[in-house]
Amino acid sequence: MSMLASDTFAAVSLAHALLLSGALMAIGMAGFLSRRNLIVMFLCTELMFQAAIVAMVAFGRWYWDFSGQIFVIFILTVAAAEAALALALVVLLFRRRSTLDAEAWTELRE
Amino acid sequence: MSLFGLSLPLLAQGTPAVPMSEVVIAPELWWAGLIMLLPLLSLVLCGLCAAFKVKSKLPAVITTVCLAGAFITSVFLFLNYTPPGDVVPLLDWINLSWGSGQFESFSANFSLYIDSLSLLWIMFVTGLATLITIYASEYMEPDLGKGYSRFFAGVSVFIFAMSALVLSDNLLMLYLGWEGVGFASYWLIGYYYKRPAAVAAAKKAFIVNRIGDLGLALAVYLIWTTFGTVQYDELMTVIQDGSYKTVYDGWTISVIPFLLMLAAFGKSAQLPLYVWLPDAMEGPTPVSALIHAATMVTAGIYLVARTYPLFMLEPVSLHVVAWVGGLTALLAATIGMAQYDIKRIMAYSTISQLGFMFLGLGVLSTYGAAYHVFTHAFFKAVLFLACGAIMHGFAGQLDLRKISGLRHIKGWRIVAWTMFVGAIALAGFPFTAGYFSKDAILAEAFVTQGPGFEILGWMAIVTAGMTAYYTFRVWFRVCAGPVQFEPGDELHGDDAHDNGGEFHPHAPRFAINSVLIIIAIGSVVAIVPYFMSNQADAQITGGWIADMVHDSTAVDGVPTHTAVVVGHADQAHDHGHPTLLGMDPHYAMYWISGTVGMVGLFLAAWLHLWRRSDADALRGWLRGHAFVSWLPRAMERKWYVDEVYIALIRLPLWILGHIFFAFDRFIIDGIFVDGVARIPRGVARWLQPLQSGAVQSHAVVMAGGIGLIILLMALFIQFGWFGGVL
Amino acid sequence: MDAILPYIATLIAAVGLLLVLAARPGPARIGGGLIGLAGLAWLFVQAGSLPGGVEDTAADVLFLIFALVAIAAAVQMIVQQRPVYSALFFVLVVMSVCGALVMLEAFFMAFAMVIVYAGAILITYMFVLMLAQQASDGDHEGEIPSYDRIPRDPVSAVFVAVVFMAIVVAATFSGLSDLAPAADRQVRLDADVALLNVLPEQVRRDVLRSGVDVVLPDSMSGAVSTQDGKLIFTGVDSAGAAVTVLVPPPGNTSHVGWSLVAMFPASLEIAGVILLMAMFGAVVLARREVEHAEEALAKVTGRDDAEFSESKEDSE
Repeated sequence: MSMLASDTFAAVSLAHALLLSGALMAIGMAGFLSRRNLIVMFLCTELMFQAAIVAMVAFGRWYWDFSGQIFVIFILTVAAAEAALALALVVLLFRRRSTLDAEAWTELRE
Repeated sequence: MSLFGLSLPLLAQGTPAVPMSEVVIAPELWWAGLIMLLPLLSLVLCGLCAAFKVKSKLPAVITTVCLAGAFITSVFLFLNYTPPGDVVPLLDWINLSWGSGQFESFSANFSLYIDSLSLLWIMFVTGLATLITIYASEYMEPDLGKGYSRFFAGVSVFIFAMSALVLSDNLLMLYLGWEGVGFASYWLIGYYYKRPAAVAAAKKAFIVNRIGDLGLALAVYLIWTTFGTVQYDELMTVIQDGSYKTVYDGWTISVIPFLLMLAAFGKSAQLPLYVWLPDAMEGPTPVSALIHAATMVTAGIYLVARTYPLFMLEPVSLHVVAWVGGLTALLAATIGMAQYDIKRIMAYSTISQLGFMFLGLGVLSTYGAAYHVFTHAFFKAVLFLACGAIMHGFAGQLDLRKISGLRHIKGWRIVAWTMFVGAIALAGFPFTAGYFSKDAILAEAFVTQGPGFEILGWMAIVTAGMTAYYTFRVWFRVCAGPVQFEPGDELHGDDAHDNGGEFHPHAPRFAINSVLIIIAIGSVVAIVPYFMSNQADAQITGGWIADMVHDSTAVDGVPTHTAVVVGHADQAHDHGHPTLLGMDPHYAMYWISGTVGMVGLFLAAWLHLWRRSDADALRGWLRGHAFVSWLPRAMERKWYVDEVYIALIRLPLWILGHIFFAFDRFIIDGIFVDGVARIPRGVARWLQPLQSGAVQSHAVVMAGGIGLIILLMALFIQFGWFGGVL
Repeated sequence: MDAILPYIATLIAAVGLLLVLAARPGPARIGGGLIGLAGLAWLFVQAGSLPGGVEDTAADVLFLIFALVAIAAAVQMIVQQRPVYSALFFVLVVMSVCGALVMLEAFFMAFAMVIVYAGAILITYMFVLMLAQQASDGDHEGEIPSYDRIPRDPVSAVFVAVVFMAIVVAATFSGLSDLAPAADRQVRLDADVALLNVLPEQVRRDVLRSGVDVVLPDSMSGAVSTQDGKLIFTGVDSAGAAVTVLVPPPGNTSHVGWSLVAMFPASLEIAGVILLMAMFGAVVLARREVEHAEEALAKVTGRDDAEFSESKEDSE
């Protein structure tokens, strides 16, 4: 059974969904570029993933094509894998410098 | 016909005395090339001596032998050439032709043009060169092992170039020789290259000569465009035929002689390009004698004589030549009267005598000019060589106030008396060679019609008087009177070793003495060619010299009014029979110039031999009175010509040079070169902070960049800017 | 002129964001937050008049509430000084995004997100945060390190954020009219029909459950169709009369599941491989020894070097 009655379907405006996606993406970008803690930086990338998810689902609903949601599954997959690996790397980096500061790693400079 | 509206005298329109079609090509005279090859060989061998650091007099021997060989060859050539002229092809050089017309080919080869004019020149050039080389073998002894080879190499180069100049068959080879003698002169003046004065003098000589060379180069171009050829034989043919181009209303015809004149004035040190010759006395004395008295400076006369028909096409040019020559003679004589350095006095005397020669050329007395060249070579050489001996012996002392009574000093008699022989010839004492050669010119000044030529003639007579005065001023001061001397600046110390500290003059030895004697004898014997002629029918007065000139391209300058008129080219001389003081000018001139010479000599004897104190008194009086003291001061200061040149030419150029230097340094280098170099550096420094190494700043740039691009695309599409990009 | 208004709203929101980011906790931050919210609100209002705009106000309002919570939580996340708080706010973001997904009828995704993200990924982040916190110097315990307190160059961060938002705004406000028209009811019904036609067992079960007397054929394919906007199963009852049975439409999960398996099987397998690789990678990375980290660890945990390395040897 579907959760909601099938003859009325919730009509959320696509524009609002896209704006939500954009806002989340922007906020995530701002957070990524302004926080110096490595882990919080990765959290902000996850936030950007959320934005992408919202956008995909919104467009999928617009065309009533489930590929959008399928792709969200894969986004989840990749996000999980990436989180695992990124956190492993962060742990390694942390072990080297005993700090979570992203500014500790500035060897590639002029 | 001419630019200045004067009609050509009938001279060039008559039957030519030397039909150029009679000039033969004589390859069997190929050995005449030895005249040029032997000095070249000497150059190479002297170069080898320098490379192997030869310390003996070997270079002198080599050069003497080679030059003697060249002289013998030239005498032999004289005895074997076929008048009126021979062209001896030696080497092919440039032969271009792009058509078959008159103006569609250009050829200039290493060929020799042997006619009497060139033979006259080459004989005395090589002869004097040989003698002076022998002199120099002793004179340059202090430089044995140091610059000895270099000196003789320079002399060899010079003779090579001079022979190329004199013997050439076309103007291009003459130009080659011209430049070559200029270079040799530069090299040899700057022989003592460690002295800044010598270096400056060498530069001055070369640069002033260059101005003349410009004239010569332009003249050669214009000659080719007007006449279609630069070879003498063809050139003379074209002139006589009249088949040259009178395009542009013939302005080139008028301009060519002036350009040639410019070249001649540069090389032969006339107004205004004479300033290099006095400074050239910084070179060793043999150089001064050979190059700047006898040979190189006569190259200008030779050029004018050789291209005389071109001058005849534009009579105004000859007037200019005469006036410039006359004025130069006067000016140089006044300067010479007020100098104290005997070599410098001789230099100004050379300039003055060259002025006489140009005057001769200008008044249509080419034979007079050539004869004067010939005699002047001898007596000026002897005078210079004697000055050199004095300099050599008195450790560089050249001031005539500091040496006196030379003829009484043991070992110096030959020097003193050979100098005397040269002096009386220069002064034009009656019945010396100089007397006759000068008269030939002076008389003609009154014969030939031209603007102000009479005034010019009287100016020349006054100059002759001045010449006698300053020449004997030198001789009486230096060689006569009480014995006293001071050493000069180049005291080496070895001259004083005999007397335990007191200076003892170093008397000349065999080489110097013998050469002085030979050349002095030569300057006496030089009278002979005036009277003797080797032609059976003596057509013309002036003897052998006149014959020599007559058979050459300078024919039009040979007067024919006293002897049997052979019927050509004499109308201008014949009509009117101008008189001087009621007598025939030639006859009158004998008396006038003789008198003037004696007056000058007497004055010199009064002031410098018998009553030297009167000379001091006179000087004091002149200096004391303001209305006249400027005159001796100006004369002593060479009429401030050098200063004028410095102010007018050198200073502006110096300023311009500095301006350009600043421009180059600050604008071209600063803005364009360094500025361009600074741009990448500046841009890099500006962008450098982007690479801070922190991943977030990289991310900002990356994300920001991508974002901006996409945003701009979206905006372009939304607002339709640029018609929507996509 | 109207076209610029969204960008102005964006800029206002950006100013607010900048104030929030750059200012210390206090009235400035609150003011910034309000400004940002105002700007965004204006933006959303302008978006209402777009094609694909508001059709059902009630649903939209619910969506907007979730959106508001998400955005607020996101902003809080990026300005928190303690990373653990950031992570918790991120959980709140995930929850509200899930709510938004529910409003977008992606039920499966919503719950999958909660389970995977909030349940697994965020827990992992928490663990790592705990691990990393302990190695701060024993002297200043409890003090927040500077790299957490002070944001790094908020201006360029907000600039980039604005650029990205502007892209979305541009696309939304000018591009939506270029889209193909929205899927209407009929498309949904067709999709449902297509799905049910490949799920015969489900149709059989539904028909049976409905209790209507109908004879179920062996092959159920093609039996479902639409009528008056509802799904019906047309069959024959035991008496032979035509019977239509209302069939409930398949849920979102069925659709997603079928699309996933039928249309993207290879991608599914590859996703599995990716996860496997990630697991291997994480294990390998975490095992790596780092020398001086041992000393730091020993200092912090209060143990000797000798003791520590001894214990390590034991464990080897």
